[in-house]
Amino acid sequence: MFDGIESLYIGLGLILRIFLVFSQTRLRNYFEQSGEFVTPLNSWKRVIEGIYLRKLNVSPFLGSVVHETPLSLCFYSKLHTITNGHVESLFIIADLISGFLTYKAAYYILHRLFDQQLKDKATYKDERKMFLLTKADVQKNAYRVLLCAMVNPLSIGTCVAKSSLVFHNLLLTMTFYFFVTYQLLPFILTLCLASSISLYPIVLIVPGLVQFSNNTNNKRSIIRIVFILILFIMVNISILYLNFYLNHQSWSFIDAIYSFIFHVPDYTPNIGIFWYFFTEMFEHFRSLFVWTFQMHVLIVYLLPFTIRLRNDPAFLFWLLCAIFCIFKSYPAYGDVAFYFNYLPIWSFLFRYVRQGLVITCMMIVAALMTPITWYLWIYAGSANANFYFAMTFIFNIAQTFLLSDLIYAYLKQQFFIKNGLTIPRINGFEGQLEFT
Amino acid sequence: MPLLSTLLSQDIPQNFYKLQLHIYSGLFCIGLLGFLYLSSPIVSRRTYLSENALSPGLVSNDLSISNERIRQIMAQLRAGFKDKNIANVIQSMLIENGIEAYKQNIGINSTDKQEENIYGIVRAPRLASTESIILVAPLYVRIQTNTQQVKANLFGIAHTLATGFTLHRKPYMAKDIILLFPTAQENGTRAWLDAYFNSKPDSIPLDAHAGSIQAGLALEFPHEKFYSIDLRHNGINGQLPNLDLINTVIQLCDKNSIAASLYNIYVDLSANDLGYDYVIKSTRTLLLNVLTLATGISDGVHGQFLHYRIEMITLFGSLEKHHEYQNSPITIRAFDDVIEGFIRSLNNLLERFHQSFFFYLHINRRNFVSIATYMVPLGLIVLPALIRSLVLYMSFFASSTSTPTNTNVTHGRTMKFHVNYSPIFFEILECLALSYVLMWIPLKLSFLGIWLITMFLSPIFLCPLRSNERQFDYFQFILLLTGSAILGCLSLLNYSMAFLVACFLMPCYLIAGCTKFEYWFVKIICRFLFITFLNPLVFLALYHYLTRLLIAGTLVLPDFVQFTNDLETYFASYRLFNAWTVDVICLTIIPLWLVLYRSTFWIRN
Repeated sequence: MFDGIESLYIGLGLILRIFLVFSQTRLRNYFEQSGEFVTPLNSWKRVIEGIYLRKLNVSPFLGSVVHETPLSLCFYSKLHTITNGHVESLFIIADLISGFLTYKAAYYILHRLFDQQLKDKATYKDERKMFLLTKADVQKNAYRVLLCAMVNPLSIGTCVAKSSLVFHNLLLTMTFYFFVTYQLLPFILTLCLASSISLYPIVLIVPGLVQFSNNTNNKRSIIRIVFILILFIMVNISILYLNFYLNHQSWSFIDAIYSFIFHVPDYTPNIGIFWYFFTEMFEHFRSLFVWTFQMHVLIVYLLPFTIRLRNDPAFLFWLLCAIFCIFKSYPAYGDVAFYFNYLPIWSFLFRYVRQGLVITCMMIVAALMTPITWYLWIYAGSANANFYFAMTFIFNIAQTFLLSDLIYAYLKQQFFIKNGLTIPRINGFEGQLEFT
Repeated sequence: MPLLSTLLSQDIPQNFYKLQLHIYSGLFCIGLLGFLYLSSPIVSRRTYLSENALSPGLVSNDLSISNERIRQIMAQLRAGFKDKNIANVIQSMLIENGIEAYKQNIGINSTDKQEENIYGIVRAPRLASTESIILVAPLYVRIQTNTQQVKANLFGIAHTLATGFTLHRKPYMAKDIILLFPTAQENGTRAWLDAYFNSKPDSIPLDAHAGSIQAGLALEFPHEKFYSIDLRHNGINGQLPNLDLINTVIQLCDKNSIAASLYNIYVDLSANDLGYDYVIKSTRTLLLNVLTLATGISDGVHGQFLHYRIEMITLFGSLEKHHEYQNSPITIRAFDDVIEGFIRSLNNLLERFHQSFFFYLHINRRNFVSIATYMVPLGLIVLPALIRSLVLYMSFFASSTSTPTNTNVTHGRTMKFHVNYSPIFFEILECLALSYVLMWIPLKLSFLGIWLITMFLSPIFLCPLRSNERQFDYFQFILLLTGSAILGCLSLLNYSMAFLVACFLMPCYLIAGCTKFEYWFVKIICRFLFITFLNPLVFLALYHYLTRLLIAGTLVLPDFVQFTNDLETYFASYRLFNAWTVDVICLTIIPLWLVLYRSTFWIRN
């Protein structure tokens, strides 16, 4: 089933996770309590609470404890009864499966890029050949993705913290997998499920439209777009109604999930930008800024990126994922891990990334300093919220740098493929083109 | 965004390469000197009280404890200590005076005797036990000259009791007063705190609680007479109490003309021009501050309270006379005023201590440097590592090749060489594994010696790094970044430790970098330096000697026996203090040092 390297990497991931989950109780407690890994949306403690409330026939959505959909709550309670409360192994399995699917998706994307290149090769000049992916590169980069998914400390931490983000990520990874393998129905289904849980994936229908609207002779057809949209809306509505019936015919979950995500009433510190901003802000500006922030996540980047990257829907999909993972209202390290694991696919762009060192250093410093500033703020009492926020802010800036740099690199590479690699020398230096 | 902008900035000027060594060592030395310069009056700031509610010394004194009363209590206590039922004596005294008193059993000590903490709560008449102040008087305290020996804390206990008795039923008290008499110093204190806050699952909850504890004072008076008060404020892991609290005490001491010293160093601030004496003493205080904080253990029971976010310092009755014509000991009356003023100030407090500073270094009792200032020297010391890593990084990449026809061919930012990660990974893994042993062996000097020799021999029995020059650069680049990241993290948690570690690691980096020179004798010298001067144990011994010099204030000879004794005591007790200094050293600094040492053995291929 797996070849040598795959089984080696998966084995490595399995051993790491088992070791950390089952033998390091102190570390596990730390992860389960840290605000960087666990948010109100995905804390397992809250899920357990929801399961018990459900058992007692009390609506879990009264009060502000449970923020899972009735469907996922039903799913978790099944898992809970099957395993008799010992869900750790299920988390590990789900994490490994999503890692493997990430790898498969990466392999398809790289393969498609490779095929594309073979087709266009005739139009390239000789000197541009150094861009070309080789067959070995495809496999190597895919392996890198797998290795990254298996040893990424952020994914491992999410798994150890028993954040239900593991399952959300699995769903999102499945969406991506069906997306790159052109399976429309499963794609729509998983996408709707994913967006019913965390709302933001709803924007991913746009790359879906770009990807699936091509008809047999590579033209976009309006009929397909309309069909996909109708299908998407239908599935969404039916999931909503399913949730409605599972919740004993009550809409109370809408308030507990979508309103909770959209209006951001919970200011528990996390790695996002919402909590600090809204604690600092005057209450009467609240709705203005809620809308601004949410528009920023959902809409602002959608149209320009779609237009620019219409020929590479996989990159567009990944980019949109990354954007809502950074700017969503309750982000956790698990979200970051989700899009991080795909980075090696685009390793051929890294040569055009300008701030590689800065980004890496910022990320490492922020990741190391966040728990320290948290300790100084909450336990030692010698620092305050600003320190902690500074670190999470640095982390966010680094992520935005990373994204903008990758887009820049992507555009630059496209430019070179089209125009060749030779640049005239002006006054002894490479010529530069600047917008002034 | 310019799409065609070059990815590389211009190359580093050749002159810089020639001057590199000078720049790095220069920055390092400037950092060290800059640190010493912190003690100058130009850099340091004068202390002030940031929290207005404290206003120390403004209330008129209300308590009058007669000498007779104190002596009477002391006589009772002395009898209690003699009969070895001090716990019962204190408890009955508290109950007789209408103060609720409880005992906490903390187990059996080495001499097979039951150890008990006693505590009483003086309830505040004005409010319903929402907040409280704590006064701590350990039953036994270490004496000044020899830290191994303990003596009954007669005066401290007597005074705490007398204060409790007189403050009982005072109408203005808005905060409860907890009177705690822990046995077995830190051990007893820790047991009491764990039980009070229920933080250990196996601890038995206490019988009574007061309001949330805001701040407090620990009294350690091994002698019945004292000539000055030594303020001790070092917490565990480099934690410090809020500066306002210390300033309150100092203000009160100054008002009652009690000489308050830090680290037994008293700086006379009354002189108009600050002379030689001021500079020397301030520098000594500053250095002692850093050197003692770096160990991560506290110099009194207050460290345990700081761990629970209760601001506290220890007043230690010292026998040293600091005022010039002082012949008589401090009167009970004057000391009373300090305690009363302190409690009344805290009684006024509306919020927890949050204003003032938590990160500071004392120059003397009235001057300090804040975090913004003292981070600069550390930054200067670590800067060479950052510059060097940047220089290395910039030398890794090439972006374009020139063609004859006035054009460039761009390749993006490509590395000039292929990096083979696995030897680097395994090298680091080996060093980590080798130093992790330290975490598990019982730490003793002899074990440390054996383990150090193993480390020094490790390049012989474990194959050293094989790489080409470029890859070695890359390896160093990773190490430099790791080192700076570790130092950055440490500097926030425990500045003093970070500073000392930086002083140790930066020369290591320099010497490890020097092995790039081809000459064989350079390598031999580098290895020799690693074995002698940059040996962690040698550094530790030097550190110990320096501390002793500074404490003594005069020239003392190195004493190996005392070094071993102190080291053993430290290793035996640091777990008790909840300190993580040794763990951090074993898990991060030692592996880094070992990697650097082993990199002097790298083989070119």
